[in-house]
Amino acid sequence: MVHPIYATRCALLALGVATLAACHVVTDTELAQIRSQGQHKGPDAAKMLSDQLIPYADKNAKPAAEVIDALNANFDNACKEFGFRQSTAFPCNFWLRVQGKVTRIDSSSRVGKAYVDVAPAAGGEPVHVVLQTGPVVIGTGVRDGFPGVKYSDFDDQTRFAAFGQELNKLVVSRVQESLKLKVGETVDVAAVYSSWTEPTGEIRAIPVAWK
Amino acid sequence: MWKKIGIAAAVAVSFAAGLPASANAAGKGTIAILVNALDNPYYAAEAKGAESEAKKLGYDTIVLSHGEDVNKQNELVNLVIGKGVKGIILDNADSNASVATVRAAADKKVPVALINREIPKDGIAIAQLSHNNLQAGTEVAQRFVETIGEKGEYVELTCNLADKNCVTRSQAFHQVLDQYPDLKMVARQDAKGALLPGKQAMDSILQEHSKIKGVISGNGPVALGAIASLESAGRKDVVVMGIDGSNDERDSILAGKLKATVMLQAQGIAIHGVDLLDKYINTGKTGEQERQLFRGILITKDNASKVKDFYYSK
Repeated sequence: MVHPIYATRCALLALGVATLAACHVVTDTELAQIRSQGQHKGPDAAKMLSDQLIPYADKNAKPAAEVIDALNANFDNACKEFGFRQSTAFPCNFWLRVQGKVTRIDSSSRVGKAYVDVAPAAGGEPVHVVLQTGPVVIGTGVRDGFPGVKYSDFDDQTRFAAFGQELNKLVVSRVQESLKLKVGETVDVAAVYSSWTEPTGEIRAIPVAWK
Repeated sequence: MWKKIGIAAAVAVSFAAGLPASANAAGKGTIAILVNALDNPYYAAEAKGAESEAKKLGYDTIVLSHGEDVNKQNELVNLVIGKGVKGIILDNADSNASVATVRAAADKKVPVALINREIPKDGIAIAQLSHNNLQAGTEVAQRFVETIGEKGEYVELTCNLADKNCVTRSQAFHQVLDQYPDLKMVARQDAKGALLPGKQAMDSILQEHSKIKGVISGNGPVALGAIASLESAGRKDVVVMGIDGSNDERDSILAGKLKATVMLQAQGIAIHGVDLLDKYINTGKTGEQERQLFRGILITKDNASKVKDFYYSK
C-alpha cells in the first residue's frame, strides 16, 4: 500500500515536472528579441551610406562660401534656403561643396582636422572650412543631414544613436582609406556642417563624398 | 491588502479635493496632468507648462502625481477616466509597465499624450514626446572633453540606472568619452539621482582617486552633490558637468562652480503635449508624428541667465 503522503508528494512532483516541461527558459538575448518584436530596427548603415547618402551629399552640396555667407547673415533664412532639419530637436544641417587648398593639418587631437581655404566665386577673401578627418568626428550631421533617415524608423533613442555612430565610423574609415589630405593639395569634397545658430567659431564639417 | 486599500483611499481623497464633480464643467472640459512628483523642480515645470497651456486653450485642469508608483498611476488614470476627462498628459511611472495603462485609456477613447518617457509600443498614445537624451549626453560629454582635455582620470556619477533616461545619458557619455583612450574612467557609481547620494558617492571616490580632473553626472542634483563634496575637500580644480538645467544648476554655473549642463525643455515638451492633445480632441488626429524628440540646450556661463524653471528665453 502506498502511504497517502508519499502518493501526494509523487503527484506534486509529477505536476511540477509537467509544469516545468511546459515552460521554456530563454536567454537574455532571446528575451530582448521577444520584447523588441514589432519595433522598428532601422536601415542598414553601410548600404545606406554607399547607395543613398554619398550620392545625396554629392548632388546636394552647395558652394561653401555661399552657404557660409548666408549663415553669417541670417541663420534661420540660411537653414530654410540651404539646410535640412528634421525637426526642432535637431540642428540644421548644411551640405557644403568644399573646393579649395588644404592649408594646415592638425592631428594633435583625436578630432583630426584639415583646414581648407575656399575662394568665393565672386572673389574676395577665402572662407575657412575645417574638415573633420577622425578618428573622432563630432556630431551626427551625416545621419541628421540625410532626409532618408527618420527617428521614427528606429523607435528608440539608443538604436538611433548607434546608427549615427555607425555612419560616422564608416565615414571615418573611408576618409582614412581614400581621402589622405596633404597641405598644399586641392580638394573637392561634399561635407556636412551642423549648427543650432549662426557660426561662432570654426566651420567644422564632416566629409562624406569627394572627387 | 490594507496597504492597497489605504493608497486607493488616499488617492480618492486627494483626487476628490482637486477635481470638479464633473470634468465637463468648463467650456472645453478637463485635461488631467499626471507627473511623477510635484516637489521635484523638473516635474513641477512640466506640470506648470501643461497647466498654463491647457488653461490658455480653455480647459480646466487637474494636476496629480503618481510618485513613480505604477499602481498609483493606474488608479489615478482610472479615476480621471471615470470623471470624464477629455484627455491625459502623462509623464509615466515606468516605460514598460505603462503600456497597459495607456492602452486602457485608449480603449475608453481617452487620448493620452506621453511626455518625457516613451513606451515601447506605437499607436496607443496619441503622442510620445521625449527629450533627446543622447543629444544632451553627447553635447555635454563633448564639452567635458574640450574642458578637461583628452588625457587624464575622470569619474561618472549616473543618475539612476533604473530609469531608462539615465541609462541613455550614460550611453551618450560613453559614445563620446570612450573614443579617447587616454581618458580613463576610474570610478562609476549610481547616485540615485539625488544630491545627498551624489555627495556621499563623491566623498568616498575622492578617498581613492585624488588625481581626477573631472566628474560627469547623469543629472543636475547629482552634479551639485559632487560639487558640495569637492568643495568641502578643497578641490575646486575638478570640472563638474551634468544634465537637467534647473535653476539651482543655473545659479551654480553663474557662480563658476558647475561648468556646464544641458537644459531639458520640461515646459516646452509639456506645452507641445497639450497642443497635440487639443488638436486630437478637436479633429481626431494630431497631424504630427507620434514620436518626437526635443533637443537639450547646452548651458554654460555665457547663456545661463536665459534659464528659468526649465524654460529657455531667447
